[in-house]
Amino acid sequence: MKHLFLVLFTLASISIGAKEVNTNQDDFVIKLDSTSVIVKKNGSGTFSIYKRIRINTLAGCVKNSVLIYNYDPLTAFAEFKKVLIHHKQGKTEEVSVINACDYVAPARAIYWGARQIMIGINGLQPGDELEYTIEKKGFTYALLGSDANRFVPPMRGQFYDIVPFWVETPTKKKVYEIIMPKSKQLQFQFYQGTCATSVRFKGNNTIYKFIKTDIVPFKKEPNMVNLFDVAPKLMTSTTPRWEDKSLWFNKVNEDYGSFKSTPEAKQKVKEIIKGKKDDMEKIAALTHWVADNIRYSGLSMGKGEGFTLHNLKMNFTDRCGVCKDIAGTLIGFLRIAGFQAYPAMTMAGSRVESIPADHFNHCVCVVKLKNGTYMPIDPTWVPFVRELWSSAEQQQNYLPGIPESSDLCLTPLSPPENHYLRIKATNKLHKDGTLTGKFVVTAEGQTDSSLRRIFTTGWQSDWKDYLEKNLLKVSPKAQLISIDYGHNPKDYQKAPLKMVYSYKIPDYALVAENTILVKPLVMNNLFNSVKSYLAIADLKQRNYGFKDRCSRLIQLDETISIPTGYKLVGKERQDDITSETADFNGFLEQRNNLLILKQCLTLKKRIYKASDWKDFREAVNKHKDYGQFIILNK
Amino acid sequence: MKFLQYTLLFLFVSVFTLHASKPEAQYKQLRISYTLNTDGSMDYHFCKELTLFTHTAMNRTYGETFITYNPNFQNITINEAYTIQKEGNKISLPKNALIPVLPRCASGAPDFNHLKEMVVVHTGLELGATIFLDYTIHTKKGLYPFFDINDCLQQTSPVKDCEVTVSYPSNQPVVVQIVGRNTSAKVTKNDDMTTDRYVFKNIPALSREAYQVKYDPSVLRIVASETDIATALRSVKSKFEDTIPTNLKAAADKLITTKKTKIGNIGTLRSLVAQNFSVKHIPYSLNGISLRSFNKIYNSHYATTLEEASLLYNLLHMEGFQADLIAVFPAYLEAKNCGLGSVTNWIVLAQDNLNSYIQKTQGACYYKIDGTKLNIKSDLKKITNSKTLLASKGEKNNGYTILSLPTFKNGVDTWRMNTLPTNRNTVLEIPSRISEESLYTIDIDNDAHFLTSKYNKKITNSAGLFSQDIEVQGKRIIVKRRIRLEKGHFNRKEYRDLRLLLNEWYDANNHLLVFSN
Repeated sequence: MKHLFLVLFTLASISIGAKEVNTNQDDFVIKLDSTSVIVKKNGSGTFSIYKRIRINTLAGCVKNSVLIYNYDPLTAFAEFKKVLIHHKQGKTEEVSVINACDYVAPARAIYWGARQIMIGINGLQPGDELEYTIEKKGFTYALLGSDANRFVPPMRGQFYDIVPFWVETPTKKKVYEIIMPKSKQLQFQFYQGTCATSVRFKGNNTIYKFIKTDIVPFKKEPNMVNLFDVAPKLMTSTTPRWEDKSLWFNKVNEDYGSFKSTPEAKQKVKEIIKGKKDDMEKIAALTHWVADNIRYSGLSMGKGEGFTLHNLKMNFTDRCGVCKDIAGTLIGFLRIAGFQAYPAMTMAGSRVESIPADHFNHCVCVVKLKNGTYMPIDPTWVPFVRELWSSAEQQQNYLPGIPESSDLCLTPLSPPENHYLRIKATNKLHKDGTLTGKFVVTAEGQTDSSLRRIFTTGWQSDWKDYLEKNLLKVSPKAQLISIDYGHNPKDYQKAPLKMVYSYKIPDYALVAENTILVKPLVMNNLFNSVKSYLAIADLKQRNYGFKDRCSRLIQLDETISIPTGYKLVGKERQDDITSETADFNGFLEQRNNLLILKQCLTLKKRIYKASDWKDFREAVNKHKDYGQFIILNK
Repeated sequence: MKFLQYTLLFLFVSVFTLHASKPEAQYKQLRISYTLNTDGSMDYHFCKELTLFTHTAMNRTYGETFITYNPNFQNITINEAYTIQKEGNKISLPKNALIPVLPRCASGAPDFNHLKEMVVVHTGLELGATIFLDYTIHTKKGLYPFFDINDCLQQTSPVKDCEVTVSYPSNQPVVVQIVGRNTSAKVTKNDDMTTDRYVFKNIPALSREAYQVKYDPSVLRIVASETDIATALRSVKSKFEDTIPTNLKAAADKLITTKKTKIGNIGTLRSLVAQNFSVKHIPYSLNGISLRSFNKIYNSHYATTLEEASLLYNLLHMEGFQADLIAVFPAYLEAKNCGLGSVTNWIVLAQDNLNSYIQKTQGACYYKIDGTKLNIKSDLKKITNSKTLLASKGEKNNGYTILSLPTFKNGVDTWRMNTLPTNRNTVLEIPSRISEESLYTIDIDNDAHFLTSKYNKKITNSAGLFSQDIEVQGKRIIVKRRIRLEKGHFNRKEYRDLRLLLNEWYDANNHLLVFSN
């Protein structure tokens, strides 16, 4: 839950290394990274965070010359307890923690007053060792009460933690310890690796200890899934089931009155759904209005911020908020329109495990349909997108906060045809290598959203140059004769995007004696920005799962009228590949003076397993292969 | 024929009028006043009235206002902040919409942790809403050595009415320069104060075109100072210490060697300083010319641009090298009447390494720390690259071999100006004036037959020259590509010529040789 409203984790790549960490290598090495948590009966925790770092180089000094630690002042308190420099020459110097700074951290988009503590480590030299302890009390979320209650989690008595056991810096030893009353039951699991684990009883407490040694960063695979899905991590929770968390999330927002209607909101809802005939039309209209008009900028409501959805009055007045407030506005609107709607938590970017450890960073909503099922909707991710649930979030776990409780759910795959890119080009190749012609590009779903972005979120003064640039990427000499993108390309709800380009490209083909070499225009850097699969590195083999932006269908058709007398060199082509991961079929042939190229690439998922790579790669590479020069000879 | 005319007219209309750009927002009013008080303190008063037309304006662009200040010397007062929605509802700014945070530039720098950024989150925004914001920053005497203004008045959206005033004690004259527009002030005198008032109507939005002139004299700007450049720079020099940290000197002594050239040793010292610090870009507006002690800078492992430059300057002197600390200004300003707020960078000149810097900074002028102007003429950047290739290494395709001539990482290829649009409104600045020549020697190491065509080209125009020559010498092919751009800036007319040359340079087909097997 503490990560509920962050966008994505940006942790560096690592791997589980078998070799021993040499503390004299690298710019700096962590000799010991230890966290010990004492959990009280009410669920609040006191964290003691200790690190000992060996500095080996000047760059290591620069990187460790300032220590910074983040905390949320609404629910936690953090301070440096002790900082020591063990100088190479043998002297130990204590850095006065009185000089530590405690301040509101730099912020953009979320303005909840998150704080940092910071201390400067002056005079650090290669060969020195730095040792420090930070003490943190509380949680990253909690209902505010008196000072003493500030650190008590909102699910009173419950404790959880998510502990990455990967590192950014070579680490000799990493220890995580929980000391909690015997009366509490803790479930835990160490994922994607192993560690030394122990459970001991001491007095009225149980002590859980997890130790891993010689952890080294490893080479990351480009486009791989999130590290939480592949790297070693520890998940712990005293909450028995996800259903308990679901009920709590429902109750906390209902009790607060997050969705209570207001006369102004009622009037707006009436205006939005006017003329809408059925439930889906109403849901769509309300979702898109909220998505487009409640902007992402998070103010703090004070008590309860972080997990309580701002009330409808605040949201509709402010017209801004983070994902939970945008979702809250939609829930309020849907309820005014007569629907049953509730909030849901989700984790954009990585898998949520079965242990209910609040591994969420995003908030969405669910609406009950007439057939009794709940449909997830995400207004935060669909501004100017022709979807109600963004398919950039397919194959993603979510937990609805509904009155009857829910287990963890998973969003389904989105069919590739819902996100098509179709380009149909009719070209004429002239003897001197000039290409003239026209193409029609149409797109839907996530592809529509990407291609339309210049109209929906770009500056109007940039439109003309941007649209021309699409063609100039094919050739700097391209001349845009005309472009038709309809009367109002900003109106994304009306229909899938359609643009018609007419152009002339001098020197497009290579002309040499009796030979002409020409690349299919549709395969020549045209709209590569929406072909996200092209950015996936072409590795021979993958050890980890990988991800694309979305499932997608690419249909590219081109006919080229060629100068009389020229014939295609080599064989005509026909390819047909089918698998559960990706399909490709295409052909290239000459009919009289026409070259005809057709191809269709179907990429069926957003998140792929490592074992999907062979089929994915084969289909994509066959598709790319059609971008080679076509050779014509007289 | 008439049909053709209509067709052409229609095409013209479809390409150009459909794209006629509308503003995302409009400043109905912008009022800015700068005051130098008789006690040496200063006041900055800013007031804007901004109407939003699009979601682009409402979301990312104008949803928040960020105001940085130095609480040790400054206090900020939000006089008025509210939104008037399209239908006339007034949404007052709630208390929680004013959030003082640490400015990003001070992140990771404990000695600058006192700096603040006030985030004003504008609430109640919708299409057609108007943002009203009025605030004042009062600056105590001591942050800046002199009264000093350098502000761009042109905004990212057009401004209908703009009023700017500069007030100062009558016995403390201030020289005001308005850049980018011919205008004069209406001067009034009340008691002991003089006020220069400027009124501007219909200021166009700043252009969003790429590759704009860095120091652009056509952009509307106000520059004012109560002192001359020499006095201003001397005030910086007076802050310098004469020593450098012992450890740094010792590290430098170890690295200096007679085995290296003078330039080599200077480069080593430069690297030593660069490696010792992470640079914090704390602007003059927040920090004035305050310099920490050299020992403090050295021990902290971070430094401002001025601190780093001054440390290197001192270190070079201590090691016996001649060096100057140089302030960089836009050349279009009358620098003699500028203050330190107009300094765009601090650099250290040791020997002749300024030349390469100047090539990257066209339109700049340079002053030594003692206030003397450097008369340095930038040279044309000359680059010659060469590469030898084997024809057989090309890509095979149905009995043909296609050999790509590689690009180089030090000239026009690195500029990536290969998608320049047909039309342009503002003057374009290239990264450097350049004369580049690429020589490729291709050995035909098999029985392949080189298929020649219209490879030889030469274009000379108002922007410069492009040429490409291919010469076959038996089993060897020599390709010579040249581009020469003697100007740094290109106006609308010259832009077309520049684009013609660059398009030839970048055209992928001009980098391909075809052989039949």
